[in-house]
Parts: sequence; C-alpha cells; structure tokens
Amino acid sequence: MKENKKRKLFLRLSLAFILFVAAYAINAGLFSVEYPGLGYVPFRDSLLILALVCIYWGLASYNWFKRWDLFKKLKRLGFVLLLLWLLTQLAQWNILFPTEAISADELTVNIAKEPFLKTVMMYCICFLAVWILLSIRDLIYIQRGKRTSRQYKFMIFLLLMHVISSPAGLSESRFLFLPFHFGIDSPGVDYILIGLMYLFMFINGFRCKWIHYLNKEQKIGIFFWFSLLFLTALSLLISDSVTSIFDYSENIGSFIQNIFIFFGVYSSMAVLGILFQLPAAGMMDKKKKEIQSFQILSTTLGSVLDIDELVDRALKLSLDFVNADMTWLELEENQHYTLAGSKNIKMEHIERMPDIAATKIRSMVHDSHGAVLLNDIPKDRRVSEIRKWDQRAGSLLVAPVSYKDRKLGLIYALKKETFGFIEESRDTFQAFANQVGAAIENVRLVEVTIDQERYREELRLAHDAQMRLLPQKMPEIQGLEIDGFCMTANDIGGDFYDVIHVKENRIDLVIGDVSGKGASAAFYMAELKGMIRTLAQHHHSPKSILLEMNHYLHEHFEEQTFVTMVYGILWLNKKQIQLVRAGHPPIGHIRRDKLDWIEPKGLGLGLSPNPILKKSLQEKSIRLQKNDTIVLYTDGLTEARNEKDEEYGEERLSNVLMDLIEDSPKVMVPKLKDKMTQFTENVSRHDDITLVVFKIGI
Amino acid sequence: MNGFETSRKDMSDISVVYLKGYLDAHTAPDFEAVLKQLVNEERVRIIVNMSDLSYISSAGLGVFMGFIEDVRSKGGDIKLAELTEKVFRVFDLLGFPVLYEIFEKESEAVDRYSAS
Repeated sequence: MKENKKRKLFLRLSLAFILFVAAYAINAGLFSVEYPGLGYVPFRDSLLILALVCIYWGLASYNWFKRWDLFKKLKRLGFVLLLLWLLTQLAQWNILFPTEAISADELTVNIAKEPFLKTVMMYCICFLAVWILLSIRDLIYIQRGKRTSRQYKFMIFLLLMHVISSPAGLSESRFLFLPFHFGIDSPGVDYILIGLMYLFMFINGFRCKWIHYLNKEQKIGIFFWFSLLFLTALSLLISDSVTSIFDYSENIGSFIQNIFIFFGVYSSMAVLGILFQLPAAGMMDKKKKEIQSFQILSTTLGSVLDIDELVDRALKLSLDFVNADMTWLELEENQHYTLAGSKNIKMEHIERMPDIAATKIRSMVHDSHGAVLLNDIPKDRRVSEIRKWDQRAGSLLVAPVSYKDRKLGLIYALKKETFGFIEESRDTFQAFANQVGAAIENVRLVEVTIDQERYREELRLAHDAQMRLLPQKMPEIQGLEIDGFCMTANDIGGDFYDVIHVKENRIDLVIGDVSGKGASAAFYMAELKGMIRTLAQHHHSPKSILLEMNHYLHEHFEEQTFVTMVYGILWLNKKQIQLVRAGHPPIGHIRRDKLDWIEPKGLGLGLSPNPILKKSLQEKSIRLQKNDTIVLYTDGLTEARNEKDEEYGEERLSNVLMDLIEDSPKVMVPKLKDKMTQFTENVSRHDDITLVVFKIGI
Repeated sequence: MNGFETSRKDMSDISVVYLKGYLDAHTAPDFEAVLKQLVNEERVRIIVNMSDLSYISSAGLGVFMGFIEDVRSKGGDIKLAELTEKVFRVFDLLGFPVLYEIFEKESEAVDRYSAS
C-alpha cells in the first residue's frame, strides 16, 4: 500500500520534472511553438503550470508529513520556508547565472547551460513552495469541519485560476492551445477573482486550532519562530526577490509570490492568536493537567484491588490535583476515624492534631455537604487550634469521601501559603474525592466477593472430598447382595457408610452420621472412616471398636460434635450378625414378609466418656436365614421434608419397605431412591439421606 | 425458614428456658446465645421446657452438649422438661436419657433441684 503510494508520488514528481525539462527545451529553442493563426501560445508556461499541478497532486496524496507530531511540523515548515527563501535569493544572484559577455562560439553552449541549472532550481523552488502550501493546509485541517475543507479547496481553485491567468489577466489568458478567458473581457472580473482569493486566504488564516495543543512554553517558542518566518516572507515580498522567478515564468512567479503572501497572512494570524492566548495559556495547561489527572485517576483507581495501594495512589494524585503541599486520608467506620495514609506529612504528626480541631473540621464538612475550603487559617477564628498544631498551615481543603450517600471518610489537602487554593478547587477536589470513594467501594466489594468465592470453593472441595470417601462401588461378595445410595445435602453433610471385607468370612458393615458445623463434619467423617478400617483389623467385637472411637472422639472432637452409628459384623460362615447401635435410627430386619425394627440401647459417640458409653451400649446378635434382608439408614431419610413441610417419617418408611418386601436390594434401593427424590422435589435438603440394604444369599 | 423463639423465666436460683418452634442448624445459635447468657450470669441451674418445640435436629442437640460439661462443673445442670413425643423420640434414639434428666412436668424438674 505504502509502496504503491510512493510509486505514485515518484511518478508524478518525475512527470513534473519532465515537463520542466520540456519547458527548458522549448526555451532553448529546440523546437518552436509558433502556430500560424493563433499568435503567441503560452505553450511553455502551460507545461510549467501542468508540472506545478503534478507536484501538488503528488505531494497532496502522499501525505507523509501527517505522521509527524505538531511541534515537528511547525519546526519543519519554518526550515522549508527558510530554504525556499535561500533558493529564491540564489535564483536572483547572477553569480550562478552569469549573463556577462561570453565568446561567440560559447554563446550557444552557455545559453543551453544557463537555463538548465535554472530549470532544476525552479523545479526545487516549486517543490518547496507546494510543500509549504500543503503544510499550511495540514495546520488548517486540524480539527476541521466541513466548511474548512470547502473553504480551503475554493482558495486553491482561485489560486490556480489566478496563476493560469497571469500576467495579462483573465481576458487574455490561454492554457495550452485553449483560450482560458471564457469570453470574459472585463478586467473587473480579474479584480473580483483576486479579491476573493485574498479574502479566502484571510478566512483560512483563522484556522489555527493547533495553537490549543501547545503548552505554554511551546506557544512562546512558536510565537518567536513564526514571527521570524513572517518577517522572512515579508522581506521576500517587499524586496522583490521573486523577480527572477517572474523572469523565468510569469505563472510560476505568480504562484510563488502568492504562496509567500498566503504564508505571511497565515503566520501573522497565528502569531496574533498565540499572543492573545498567552495569558490564558497557563490556565489551559492546568485544566489539561486536571483532565489528565482525572483520566489517570479513573484507570488507576479502577485497577487497584488493594486498599493500601489505592490510598497511596489516590494521595499522590491528590497533590497534583489541587497543587497541595501535604495531603492525607482518613477512613470512617461508625463515627470512628482512622488515618489511612498521608503524603509529605508524617502520620504521627497528623495524629497529634487536637481532637477539637479535627472534630470541628469534620462537622464543618458534614454541615456543608461537600468540600470545605479554609483559605486563611491564621486569621480564621473557627479553627485556631489548627495553627497551634502546626505553624505551617496556611490553607486547608477538605472533602468528604463517599459513595452513594455512604460516608467512607475524608481527604485533606494542606498548603503552607494562605489563599493557596482558588474557589474552583473546591469543586475539583470534591469530584476527585468522589472518584476515590467509588474506588474504595469497588475494592471492598471485590474483597467481599473474593471471600464469598473462597468460602464457596472450600465447601466445594470438602464436598468433593466427601463424595470420594463414600464407596464408589458396592463390593461383590459371595453370598451377599448389597446396594445403597447417599443423597448429599446442599451443604456439607456427615453421612458415611462402608462395607469392609475384613477376613474370608467376615464382613463389617458401618453406617454413620457425623453431626457438626459445615466443612468440619466432612473432615471428621474422613478421619473416622480411616479409623474404622484400621480398628476392624484388630477388633472382633463391634462394641470394642465403638469404644475405641468414642475415646478418640471425646478427646479430639468439639463438644457439639457427636456421631451416631450402627456397626455390624457379619459372620458368613456362622450366618450371624453382631450389631451395635450408637444413637442411630433402628435397624430394619426383613424375613420373608415380615419387617422388624431392631433398636438395641446405645448412646451416641462423643457424648460421654467411655465408662458411661460402655454401660449403655447393648450388643445384639441375630441369627440370619437365607434371603434375610437388613436395612440401614440415617435420620436424614426419615426427617426429610416435602413441599408441604411434612416429614417422611418412620411410619411411611415402614410402609414403603413393606411394599417392596419381595425385591432384592438391587431393585429395592433404586426404587427407594426415586421415591426420596420425588418426595424432596423442589425442597432444599439440609441433611444427607443415606440407605444401605443387604440381603443374605446363601 | 422455620421460626424459633426463646424466652426465659428466672425463679430464685433456677432459670427456665422456653423453646418454641424449630431448633435446627439455623436457629441453634439463638439457643446458644441464651445459654451463654445464663452461664455468664452464673445461673447454672437450668431447666429447658420444650412443650412448644416442634422439631429438633442434631445441631440443636449439639447445643446442649456444648454447655453441659461447663454447667455441671459449676455445680449446676440442664434438666429437660415437657418434651413432645416426637422430640422425645429424637432424644431417646440418641440415648440422651442416659445423660440428662427428663421430666414430664416443669414442676418436677424444679422439685428435683430443690431436693438436691
């Protein structure tokens, strides 16, 4: 793309050069342009005008100077103008183009030599002049409206007309072979055209919006620079240095002269513009800085998530905002104020401010519902304590930091001089304080969200851990059919069950329920499960296992935590099951078409020391027959509630089991699960629901 | 959310706490606060009247366990009175009758304190 543009530029500039050369050739008499019947034809001049148009067309579409920054552009414009001035001066010195007498035989040679160098020079002069014109165009086009470009283009059109119709005026102008006067014979039209052209130059001179983008120093610099350039252009025009160009070609001369005039008009308007804006320049810079600070503030405050860092950055910005010497921020919580940070003043020093003064200031802020400005502390009777606290205090600016009517604190800015702040600073400082308030609130909200997220994550992890601790698959044991489910509650529950194949003929069955708070229940459950597996290896009575567990629980678990459990040791060869029930719901025993609930005495685990538990635990042995079924469940099942807030209850469970009495565990359990799911539909579960059913096959 | 209320009646050195509604994981803290207050005031002869209590969960049972040792070490006790059938079933299943004295009438509990 760029290559393409470069090529176009090169082609157009080359074409222009060729036209110049052609003009030279004509001048050198290499071919004649007398056309019979038409009289004098300004063929050569037309070629030069075409060349000029090519140069303009080439440079205008390439636009590489658009990429430079403003200040660079202004500097370069100046240098090009000076270069043009130099070349123009050179063009008229006969040192380069001597016309002294030469020998006759060298005459032809010299005539040929003289114009070619001049041709090259003229080409360069035209090039530079177009450059200047387009540079000014760029300046005019800064922050342009539709009218601007129309006005500029019209001016260019008028300039072109003027250049073509030079020197004789419109009534006699010709372009190439064509008459250019359109039948207009009145010289008045010429004056109108010229007048319009200068008028539009003047109008375009107003387009100096780029001045706003300079800071005070740059404005002063450009003021002097453009003044110098203006004088340069003026000197050229006054001293008639363009004569040599006119000699070469009236049209080109007219062009160059008008470019200088245009530059003169534009630069003088720019200089005057800067002059009028200089007093306000300082204020402009200040306002720009304020806006920048606001932008920095927004991005900074929006991205910082640590309150200390936020306070630190806010205070740094605070100094800039109102040009303060010292600044500090205090946060409020229920009428209690804490100093959160300070800049250029020690926190200990601020804390030494007497309470009377601090309270007075705070109440002043509260009463005024906004920022308060104390511009003359030494003379202000209301706050005489401040002077006593710090002799340096001259003027103080205080603004409440709040978010949506919620008071978060106060921000202070102190200056050593009295009347250090202007009235407007109050509003600026308040706006700043509001931003800080929003940012603080933002940080707090994020912290709350993070905490909540962390908590939810903890629950999730504990829940996953719990799920993994439950038997993933029911073991396949000869002579025994087992199935079960555990529907966990939304929160972490503490239900667990396990089927342990301890020895060849011994299977231990456990179901338990850890009560307690939140995530801890799941962890206790994990601990217990591990314990059970170990204990099962070393004990052969459920009672002794439970006593071991109780001892550990009583010592290590919280007081409010206790465990209910049913532990059964199934001796396959003896077809006998040894059961203990520690505070747990009763054990169901199905034989043929009868259902019995077995409820041996037993205190829950973790409620009392071992001696008491030992006395209360009643171990029961049951002889089992083929097809006997044992049902174990946790209280989450019977205590489950439906939408109508009815409890499932022991009775309903009995009835349901009676209905399914013929079924094997692998049929009964899924059915029961469905029933429980249906029952608890649309109700959030608060406790785990666990059921284990096993049937003796042999 | 099921409702829960507590109220307290002091008589000489005995305090009776009345529980009403549902005592579960959500409302347990309220009950906890009442007992804590009593312990702070050194009122350790406590009777909990559950005639209006419709439901108790393991979390609610845990509250009793959280205070019983402390109260008894100070020479007091927590006696339970006027339990409904359902609530009694929950206590009974867990084996609480082994640990706590349960009375059918509040007055019986009071008498028991006087006797000791």
